[in-house]
Amino acid sequence: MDTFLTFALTGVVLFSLGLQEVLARPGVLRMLIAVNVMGSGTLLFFVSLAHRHADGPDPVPHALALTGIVVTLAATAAGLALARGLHRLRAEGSGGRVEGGRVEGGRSQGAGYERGRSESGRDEQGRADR
Amino acid sequence: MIGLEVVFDVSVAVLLVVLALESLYTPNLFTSIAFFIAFGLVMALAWVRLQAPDLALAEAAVGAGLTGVLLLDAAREIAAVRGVERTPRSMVRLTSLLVAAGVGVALVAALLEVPPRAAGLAEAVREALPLTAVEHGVTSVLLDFRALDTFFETAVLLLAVITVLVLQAHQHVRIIPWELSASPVLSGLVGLLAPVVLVFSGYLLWAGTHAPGGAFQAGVLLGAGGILLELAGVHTVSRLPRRALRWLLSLGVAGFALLSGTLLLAGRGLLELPGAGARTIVIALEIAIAVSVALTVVSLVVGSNLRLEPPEQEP
Amino acid sequence: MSAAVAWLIWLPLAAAVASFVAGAGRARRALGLAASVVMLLPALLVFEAVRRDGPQRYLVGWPAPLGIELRADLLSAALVLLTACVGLLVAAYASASLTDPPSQHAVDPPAAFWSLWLLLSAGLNALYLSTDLFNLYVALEMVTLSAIGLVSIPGTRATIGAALVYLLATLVGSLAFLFGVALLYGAHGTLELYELGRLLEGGPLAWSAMGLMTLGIMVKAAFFPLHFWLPDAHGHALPAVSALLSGLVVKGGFYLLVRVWFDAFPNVLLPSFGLALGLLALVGIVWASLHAVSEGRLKRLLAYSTVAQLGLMLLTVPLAIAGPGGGVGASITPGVEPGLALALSHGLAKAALFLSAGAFIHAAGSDALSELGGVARRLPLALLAFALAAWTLLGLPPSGGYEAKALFEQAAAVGPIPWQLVVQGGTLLTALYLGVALRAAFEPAAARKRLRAVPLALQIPPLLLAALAVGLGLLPLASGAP
Repeated sequence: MDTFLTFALTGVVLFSLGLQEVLARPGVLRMLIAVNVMGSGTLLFFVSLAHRHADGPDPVPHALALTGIVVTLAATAAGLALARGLHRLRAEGSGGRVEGGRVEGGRSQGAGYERGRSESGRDEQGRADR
Repeated sequence: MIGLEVVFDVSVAVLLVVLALESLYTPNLFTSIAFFIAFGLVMALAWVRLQAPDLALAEAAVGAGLTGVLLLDAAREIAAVRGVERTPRSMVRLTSLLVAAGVGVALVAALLEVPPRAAGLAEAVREALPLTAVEHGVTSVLLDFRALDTFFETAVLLLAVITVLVLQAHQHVRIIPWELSASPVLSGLVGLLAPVVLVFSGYLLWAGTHAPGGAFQAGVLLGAGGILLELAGVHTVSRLPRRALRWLLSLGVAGFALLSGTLLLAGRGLLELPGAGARTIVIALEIAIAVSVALTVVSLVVGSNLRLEPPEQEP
Repeated sequence: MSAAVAWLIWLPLAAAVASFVAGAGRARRALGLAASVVMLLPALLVFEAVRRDGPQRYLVGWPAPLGIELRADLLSAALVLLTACVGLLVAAYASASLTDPPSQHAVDPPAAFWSLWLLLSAGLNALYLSTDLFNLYVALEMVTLSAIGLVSIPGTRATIGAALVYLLATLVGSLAFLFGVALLYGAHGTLELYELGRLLEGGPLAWSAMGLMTLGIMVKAAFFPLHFWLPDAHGHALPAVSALLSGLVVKGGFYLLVRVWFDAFPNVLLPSFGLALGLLALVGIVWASLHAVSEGRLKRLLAYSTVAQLGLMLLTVPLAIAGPGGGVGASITPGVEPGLALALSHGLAKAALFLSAGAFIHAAGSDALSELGGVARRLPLALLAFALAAWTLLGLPPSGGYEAKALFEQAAAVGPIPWQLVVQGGTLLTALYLGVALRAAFEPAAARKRLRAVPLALQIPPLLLAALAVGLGLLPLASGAP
């Protein structure tokens, strides 16, 4: 096995492992970890392709993978911020349930930012749910 | 005859799979994150083996470093209430296994069809490289041949930061200094490290034109320095005026927009760099990207470390 | 003229930065609104150029395969124009409906709407114009991350939860797409869509790549059965945001599917792929329509309707596969006219429906159907918008929807499978759930219920959108496509 095949295969394995775990929906943070494993697998596969050339690697997959790392980071950071935001609102105890990523309850239309509404959309929501 | 290189490659690959498995299936969330960080470090090794030092740098900084910090931080907050154990559900588990196995088999079948020897665009890049302003292939792809990708990438980073800051604004949160600030050891360490970080990220930025390194890696490193400063109670980013923060966060996109707007008005393509002065343009762009990446990194980490104000009383 | 293609991407990006750094909320709103108006110009120019001279090619810098090229054909130009039109009217609505609280934070949530919307439109335009698969991946990420940011603007539990599910689903989808792209690059050393279209032949690699990319797009576009994230996201977001998501964002997914299938995989496509997609679409239409009928909330009803209408759009894919084959570089891929016509009329009509729903909700203070009593009498203009949009969605003449269905039936008549029966069944179900919504609006107001006054500025944008949706049937756009 040469370097290309070894890492291309590893990429496939990592992608499938991550996919399996995301689909099993073990909770938000674990799903984000799994997505990152999937991402590493994808990029590993992509970059291993650049290694099939005798006189030095093909720089294009390297550059694309760099972009891929940044994009995955951005999405992960946004996901973690959302997870924490959701957690904080739940910790405030405004009722409703979140299970396996499915949100139930909650009736707000984001009233707080619609013109002429009271600014206490969240409180109203809390009361309605109780 | 099995060469040493093959042994090394296979060990790295096996280690990657083992660490991924541990990270995915360990019951304890914190252990799982620790394995994920280790996984990121081994990924950096794999990039080295694939002769991709730019990626090794980025992976060590992002995959292992930044993502790990963000995950740990979130776990600290969420797991305190929700617990850290995972609860697998057998039916879902079985279906997901079947789907993932199917995908894996299809991918292996596809892999067998990938030609084992191919140059991709390596030749094309090598031929065109002398016509660009830089000598490093990866940088020429990122900032010249496929600069549009990088333009969009800076926009994606800005999007992430907007989402994080919107949430922060919502939850009536204020930044609290991390409690480590009292430690004299840390302050001393930071005092020593800060200039080193600054110099090294400057080096990475400059190196990007002719060697591995570049705006993104330099920016993440600079951001790490910023986080250290915040940790030590030296509040740089969290005390920036709001408007200045917004400017700095969008500097990368703004730099690209300024450049491409000028090029368009001059009758050139959206990102068709001119022959003369291209090097200056690329370096200026890299500085802009690095600064916005650094600020983004600090905002992502510090921005989520906020404490809720007590909820307002209903009237 | 081809520089207009570049302005379509530059303008929203530059305006997004400007509105992000601008200080006051009012300045951001003004910038966002102005940019939305100005964007119409390059959109119209590109559309006219494509209609007159055929596809427009544009070099960003280096020629492909090293560089990235943009290309506008009728499919992309029409969707770019849809983005500009819907975007402008939704921006007008948003400008009238969003508050300007004094600036307190680094980013104030309502003001963030403007940068997010502009980045969304930049992403959509890039998606419609780029011919480079990796660039399309990055554009797709721009679209979804801005959509997620937009959904989470209100900061409530429901919206944050919906945004989170949307994000997780979409992340998996984009990685699947990216893996497919990597496979294609590995096999042929290029990322250029049309070049790949010439090179790719059927086989395990092409099928795997196509399968992964299709799955990725299906998650992103919320095609049944991977639509699970859509009803929450579209149902809980601000009305203006729902209008953008249902009117525009899902069209991006549909476009990408058509683009990738017919331009990158033309020699890989088998009629059975189309059949499988058609059957999924069929189940999706019935399932989502039934959900819409039994839904108790107006915006969720409309969100399920989007899933059902996406099914109708998907049904055009098997027709296009069965239809006459076309050469690469045609002005429009043969056979996709019905899909395009449906996408355009649904884009305008669904945006109108969500905005008039926004006006109803503004008056009634809730989007529960049971609370909507009296809004019909109180908001005649918004009601007219709702009814006109429903008219289009039902495909009654004259309207864009009618034209689309006529095209569809024309194409289905030559094929072996009577897909037009599905369309007729779908129309019946559409009538059912839209009837439920309209009936709720016509109920008398509850005894002591007070409806709040709704400014005209909230009723006129949906009315204009609905008028455009109907007017589409009078334009030669849908039926006269070359």
